[in-house]
Amino acid sequence: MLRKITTRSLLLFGVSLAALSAQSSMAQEFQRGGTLRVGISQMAPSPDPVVTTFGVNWMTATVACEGLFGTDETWTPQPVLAESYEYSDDGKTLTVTLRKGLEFHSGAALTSADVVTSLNRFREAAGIGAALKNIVTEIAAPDDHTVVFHLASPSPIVPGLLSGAQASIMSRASLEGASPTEATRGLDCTGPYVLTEYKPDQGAILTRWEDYQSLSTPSSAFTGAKHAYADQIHLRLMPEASVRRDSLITGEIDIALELPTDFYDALQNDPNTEAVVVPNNQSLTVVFNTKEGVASDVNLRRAIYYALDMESIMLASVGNPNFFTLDPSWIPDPNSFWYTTAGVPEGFGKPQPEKVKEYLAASNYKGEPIRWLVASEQYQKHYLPAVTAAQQLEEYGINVEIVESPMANYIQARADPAQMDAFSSFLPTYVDPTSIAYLNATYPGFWTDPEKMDLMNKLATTIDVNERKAIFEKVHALAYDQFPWIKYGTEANMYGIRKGVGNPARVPSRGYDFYNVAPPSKN
Amino acid sequence: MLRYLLKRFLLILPTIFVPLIIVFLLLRLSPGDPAGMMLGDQATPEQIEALRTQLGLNEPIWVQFAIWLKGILTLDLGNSIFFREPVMEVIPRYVSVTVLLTIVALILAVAIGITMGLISAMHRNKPIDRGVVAMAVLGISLPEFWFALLLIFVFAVTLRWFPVAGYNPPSAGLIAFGATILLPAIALGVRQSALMTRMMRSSMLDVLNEPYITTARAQGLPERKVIGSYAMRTAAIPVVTVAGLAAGYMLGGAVAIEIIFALPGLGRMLVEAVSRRDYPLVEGGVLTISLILAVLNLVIDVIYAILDPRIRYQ
Amino acid sequence: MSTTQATHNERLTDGGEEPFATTTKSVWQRLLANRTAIVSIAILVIISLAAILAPVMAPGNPLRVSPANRFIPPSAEHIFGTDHLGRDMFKMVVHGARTSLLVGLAVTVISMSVAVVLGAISGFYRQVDVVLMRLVDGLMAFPGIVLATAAAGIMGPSTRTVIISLSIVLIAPSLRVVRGQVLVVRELQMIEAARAVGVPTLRLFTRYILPAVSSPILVQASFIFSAAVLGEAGLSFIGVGIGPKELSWGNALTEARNYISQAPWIVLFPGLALMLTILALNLLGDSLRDILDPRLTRRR
Repeated sequence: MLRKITTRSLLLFGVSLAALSAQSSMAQEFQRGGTLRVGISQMAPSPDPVVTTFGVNWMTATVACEGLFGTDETWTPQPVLAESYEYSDDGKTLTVTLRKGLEFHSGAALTSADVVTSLNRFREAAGIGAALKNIVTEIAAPDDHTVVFHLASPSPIVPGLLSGAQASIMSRASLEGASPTEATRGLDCTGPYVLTEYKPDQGAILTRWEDYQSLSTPSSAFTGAKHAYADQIHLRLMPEASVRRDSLITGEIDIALELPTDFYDALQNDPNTEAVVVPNNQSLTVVFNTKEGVASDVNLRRAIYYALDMESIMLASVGNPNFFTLDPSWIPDPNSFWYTTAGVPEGFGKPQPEKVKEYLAASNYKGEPIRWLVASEQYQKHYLPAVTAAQQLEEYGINVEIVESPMANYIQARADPAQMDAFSSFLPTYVDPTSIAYLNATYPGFWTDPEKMDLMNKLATTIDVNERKAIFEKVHALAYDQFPWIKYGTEANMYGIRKGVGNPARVPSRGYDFYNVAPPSKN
Repeated sequence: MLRYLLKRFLLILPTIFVPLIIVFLLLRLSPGDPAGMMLGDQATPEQIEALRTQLGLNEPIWVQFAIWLKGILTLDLGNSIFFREPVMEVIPRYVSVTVLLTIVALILAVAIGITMGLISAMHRNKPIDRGVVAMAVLGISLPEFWFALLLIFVFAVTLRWFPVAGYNPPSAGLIAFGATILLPAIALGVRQSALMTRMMRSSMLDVLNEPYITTARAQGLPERKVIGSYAMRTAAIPVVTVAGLAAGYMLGGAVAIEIIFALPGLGRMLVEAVSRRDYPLVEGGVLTISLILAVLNLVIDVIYAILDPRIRYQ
Repeated sequence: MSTTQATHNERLTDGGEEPFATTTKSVWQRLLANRTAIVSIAILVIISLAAILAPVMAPGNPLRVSPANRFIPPSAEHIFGTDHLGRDMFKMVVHGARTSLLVGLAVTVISMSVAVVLGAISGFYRQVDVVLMRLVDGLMAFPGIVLATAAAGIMGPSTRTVIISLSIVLIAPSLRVVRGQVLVVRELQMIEAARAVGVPTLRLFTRYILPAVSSPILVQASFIFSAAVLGEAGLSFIGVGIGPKELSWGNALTEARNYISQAPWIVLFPGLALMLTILALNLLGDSLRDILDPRLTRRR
């Protein structure tokens, strides 16, 4: 299979480049100055990352804010605002010492009280915040530069949970009146850029903060030195993909985020632009309602899994075979510690008709329509996989009724077990398996298998990493037997840059680290 | 006349209330949840429920209606759920873009419409007339959004004379403003100009048959003067009325054009607000459009009444 | 959307002082004597045939994706090429005609029937008329796009939803036209005579009024039809019309616009089909009006 080889070589290329850029980012210096103009696909009503769990909406905070920790290019949490941290011997307290002499954009000094206020708010928020709340019973500030986390039981994942944009530290003053659902006005943070303008319907402007105190360690994603090459970073809202592409080609912007892979040739053929492919960005999935309805029948879910041809599903959704991998691991980066194929049946991705028949016979399924929710806004990631899968399932007499509705309806409908049997979704790459939303028992899909609940509890409270990996592999294997959801494959993310953009992110772990990206006007 | 005006003015009130009640009920009836949209993909049902209570969405519908009605009477349209600022501050930003777009499109349409209609009428049944008539029929049949795509492909992507999309307010300079407003205005104006061409042509032909034109010609007035100062003036009146209708149409419905050219206008804002279930903003937007359309209709009717006194007694 | 446009021509030309002509020759005969009318009817017949025969001409599900056949330019096998999902554009266009014509037909029938009934009532009962006309004013001041978007939210995006919302939006302008005609017609001598001898209202309506107002209704219907086709395409294009599960020229263009520079045929053919349909409908409407309205024929 020539196609497979291409995919793999691309993948290796991406990895080696990542290693290269990690090593050379100190050596490779770019000129400071100029404006970095970025075309973005969507914007949140507020730059405050705590009030929304839509990851794309954390972009502004990623540039303007910092947390106690940040992940590096290998997804490992490293201290950022923290100088050092240590677990107590019983593993039930985590003590973090803050770096001294740091200030917020507003000029206020960073103290442990700001950290406590910020993180207590984050604990009450949806998503990862809720995970933190399960583990951390109290956050205390014995002195100005020390923060102590009291844990319900020993848990190694606290630095990981404190690494995301949502765990950004903001000044106490700016958090006045804010709640987990009420956003702050602006961002008073410690990051290398100050948010100088935010218009949720047009874009945002970030201006370099000259008083920023950078770490001196080599820059690596969200940790280490932050170069702040651009004088200003302009985020411009352009919801249409074709508008972002055309604006890039005509030079109105320097970076066009989130482009369909079909634009690859157009960007590569233009002498002034380049298509940047970030492999292993996220997994495309379908999540089943395991609580009630037809899909709660485990044998039907098994039959569905064996009926699917993952390659044509991914091809229909992603378009270009070079931009996806058929990889069953939930945490897809083969270099990640958490990468696993535990429990994956032989021959992942190829339909196995005998098994389909076998499981269908064992099921109670009588041809009822499977109500499969998709959001209209996610045509590529939701609708296309669903329609391709439906075509394949039809051949075995499994009937899918695709229920397409706007995102607002989709989110509401999937939370109601009576309204749906399955929904299209996608799974970002997470730092730690405990952050995977699907594994949360109240997440739509409602996978409450007792064995899984037990394993998840152990995962959250076991300290030894190798033991944790073993537990995670059991969960992974369990899911590849019960199929509360099915992963088709991992898609790359593609975005476009103008020639001359310095140090663009080529690995998913770098996210939106625009402070380390240099504008083309100066290079 | 004054009584007629007053009567029409009072009748505006129910006119505006009809859409307001429709939109309130429609929004509350439709499934979908602003709270879910705000919290995002990974939020749990409990968190969404808590936010709903905070936003007052768990009140009985009649309580919500009463609160909202009271707000309207005190000119307080509430806060946009998405923008987290008063609706009264959000809407003017969008209205200004839509109004500017309408004005530019209208100027283009009227200029083209009157010129082409005039040329066509003056050369009645000659090839040039047939050409104009054919162009006008074609123009009326042109789907705006499709035409807009073709314009972008030719003038922005291929020739690169204009930016692909986006918006610069007039404060950014006339050239910058013009660069972002011209293509959308053409896309929006072309159908209207075709309608006006037809209207101008037929009313001009009517006027040219009037006895006073014949008299003017008989008196030996130069043709340029006959057309320019007599016929044109009368013939253009129906075109002005068409322009009024066109303005109403553009103000209320330029959604596709605003989406394609990424203009932050009222139509696009409304569609987005509906899909985000930003109830207060949608209600405020509908109120704004209804007001504009109602006043515009009134103006058109008044022009009608002036032109044709019989209408007043109907 | 483009829906309120249907009223443009009418408001200015149907001043309403004289009823449309009724002569001995049938409308049909006179249409066939008009060259423009013949051309437009021919186009409509071809499009209708394509729509009716779609399952025979282009068998199979037109929405079936075929990732291996993406972006094939127009060729012998795919005369309109294929799109970004490997779907045959000829199939899409032919099957899309079904949706367009279905929506156009349904909306025209529904909105015109309601308009005729309400228009007749309105023309005869002053009290009803006052209330109804306020409602119509209100409806005309209501942005149709909000109605359509909300309807898509309540009932889900589908052909049925689009038909319902477009019908509601287009009732108002049609109602105005019908009412205006009824007001004029009821003052005619023959109707006054019929009323004087005590013909019941319903019979009066079916026997005298309806035939007398049928010509302007026919003209209005052709414009409503084209407004509905255009409206459906516009709504589907911006994503609040017919969802991706069903096929329409409008939603074929939604995704296609991303590929206009690499595969212009995806944008070209659905748009051309749409334009041709609207053109034919408008030409037919013009011819009908020329034939039926003596005041206008003077100007030609």
